[in-house]
Amino acid sequence: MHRQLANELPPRDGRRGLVLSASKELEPGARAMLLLADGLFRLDVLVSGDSLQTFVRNLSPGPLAIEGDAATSDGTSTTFGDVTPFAPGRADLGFTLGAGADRVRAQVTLATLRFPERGLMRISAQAVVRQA
Amino acid sequence: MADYIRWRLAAARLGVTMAFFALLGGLADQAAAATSAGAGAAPAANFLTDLSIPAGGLNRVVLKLDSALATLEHKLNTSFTTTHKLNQTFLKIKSANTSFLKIKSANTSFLKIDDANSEFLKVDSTAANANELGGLSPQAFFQGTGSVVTGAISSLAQNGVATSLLSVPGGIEVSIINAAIGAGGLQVQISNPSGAALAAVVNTGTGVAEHDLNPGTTSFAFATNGLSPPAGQLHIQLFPNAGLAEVVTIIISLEESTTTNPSFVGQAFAGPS
Repeated sequence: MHRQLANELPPRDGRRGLVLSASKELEPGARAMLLLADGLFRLDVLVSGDSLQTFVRNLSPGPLAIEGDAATSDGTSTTFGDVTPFAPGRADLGFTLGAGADRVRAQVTLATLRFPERGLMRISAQAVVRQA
Repeated sequence: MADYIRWRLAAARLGVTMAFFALLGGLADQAAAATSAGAGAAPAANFLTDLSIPAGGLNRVVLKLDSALATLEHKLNTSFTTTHKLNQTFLKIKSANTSFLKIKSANTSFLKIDDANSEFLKVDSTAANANELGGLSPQAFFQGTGSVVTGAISSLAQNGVATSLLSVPGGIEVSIINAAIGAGGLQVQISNPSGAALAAVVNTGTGVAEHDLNPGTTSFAFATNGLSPPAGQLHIQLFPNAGLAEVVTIIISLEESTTTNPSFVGQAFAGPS
């Protein structure tokens, strides 16, 4: 069962927007769909060792352009309380897809938590999609 | 140049004077020759008073010489004036060469305005690729302004007191309340410091509903799966308003707990806007 929240954002600079968020627990080596934007893209994730692999499936009629090295993101990561056992992590991803007026830019922030006693990793994500 | 002209004028006057004297000398010689031919030796020093020139002849010569001299002086004056005017009006080639740059030399040494305008950027101008990095526009790079906050509560006493779990950018505080079943049970409390109602969409695990979080705090009952040990997840989206610049997503889960002191872990995303 895929539980995702997808809602429209207030326009910014005249550009409409959409926010998608979801969370999923995965076993190592398992691939699963994390986010789905109908007619735009599908984001899959795969936990491989200590790495998180992402797959963007382009569902739009236009080309997909993955943006530069998202690992250099200057976003902040903050922790509160005893989060050490969960080994929180973070990753960023950006891409543009679609064509013409329907071309959109997606900025995805992913966060991870480890649950060693269950042998699972929780991957949560928020994607902000706006007209490019 | 003017000095030179004056010198030439003086020299010409001197030359005319000398010619005049020479003419007089010639006349004197003629007179002397005539005298000697007729009367033998004659004094050479009195030629002015003993000329055989007809009366009025010397005056005509003098007048002619004066006329020639005047003509010459006029010519010299005209030439001097003309030269003076030329000197005032025009630049000498030699002076120009020493004072000014030749076009050919300038072309080889300096840049033309048109070429500069087409080749170089003006001081207050912005290059067409000024915003690019490595030939790529800013849109080609991910601008990671989003924030991630992770919090955990390892053992929450059942005392009905709000315990902070997350402090989200924008001033939003997320707390957990563990109260007795009769007092509300497990609750998630979210503060709204924005001063205006915050639109929210909440998935409690049993359904999705829209809420307006008024300024202050709002509590949601934390639904568990009813299993033993209980588990559950709360998923909230908060939307920007006048006091909240970025969209916020909060995901909180109840971890396995066999006691009345459950543990919680949560993550929040703020932005990018």
